[in-house]
Amino acid sequence: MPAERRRRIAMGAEQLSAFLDGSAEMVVAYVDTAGWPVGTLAGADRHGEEITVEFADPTGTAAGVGVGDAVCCVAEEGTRYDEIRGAIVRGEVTAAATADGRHRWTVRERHTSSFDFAALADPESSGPVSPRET
Amino acid sequence: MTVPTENAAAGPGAELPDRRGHDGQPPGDPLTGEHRRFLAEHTRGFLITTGADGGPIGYPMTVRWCDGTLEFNTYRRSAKVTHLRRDGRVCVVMVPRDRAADRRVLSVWGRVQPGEGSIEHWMRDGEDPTPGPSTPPHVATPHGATPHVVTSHVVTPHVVTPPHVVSRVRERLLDGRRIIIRVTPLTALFTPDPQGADDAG
Repeated sequence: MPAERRRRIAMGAEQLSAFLDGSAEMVVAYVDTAGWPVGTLAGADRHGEEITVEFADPTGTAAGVGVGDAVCCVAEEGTRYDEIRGAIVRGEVTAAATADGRHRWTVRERHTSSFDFAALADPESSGPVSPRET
Repeated sequence: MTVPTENAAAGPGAELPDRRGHDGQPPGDPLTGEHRRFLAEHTRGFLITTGADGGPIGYPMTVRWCDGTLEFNTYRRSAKVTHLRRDGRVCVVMVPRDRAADRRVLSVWGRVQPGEGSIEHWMRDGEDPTPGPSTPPHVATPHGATPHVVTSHVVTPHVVTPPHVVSRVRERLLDGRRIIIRVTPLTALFTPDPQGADDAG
């Protein structure tokens, strides 16, 4: 997707920050020791430029992730087309703990991309774009 | 009509590489009937790939369950296609859009499948009575702005994609700017509700 279109549908800084602050669930993704990407839905709590995610892991693979490892958190919401928005946060684990079978990671944000489909609701716009084409 | 799925870099029939050269098995269990029913009922997915730096990247996508495979469409020149050419292993996390109606979450692991994807699957009107090739009014996809098939199993609401968006997506599928990505699922696992209600099946 052309960069201009990505910019057109990206959230502004304040909107993005508010969106992430209000996202109680995110898909958290990591790569396991065998090289397979793994994703699951996690509870999320953002504070400053860090996100704490908490989740149970029936695969047993999350135990292989520790401080310094790369993870990705994806938030998305919306029930109407022009309300759909989301963010993809790539970062690294700065703290990891496990209790009662649940993993709790703190993730420092390193790169964030976002999208807001409200920009696509106008039929006179330059057409549909997928914000994920980054 | 068929259009190439994402195997252009590898060549017809070629196996897509595992970036790290590992031959490990994916997490999860073999697919069950319950997994397949869930995949047929829901279209909101998150495609997890591995980037050039070895880290994970997740993309919200509209996912369609077609003939035992998961299908997406996306821009041919997108970053995610580059990632998939490098490493065809993926995880797809399916999250019902109406979480109150269905709190299950399913993680699916699979490989991008070389071959041809049928564009008709992305053009048909399903069970909607609306005539013509246009997307039915209640069939829509928030992710990638692509239409999806209506099945009798759909239990959660779907987002309505504006007709001008659907038309443009179809144009781009036809002119080759968008392509269909097809994933062969290998394993799957329902994961516990992050809010604590463990109703995973």
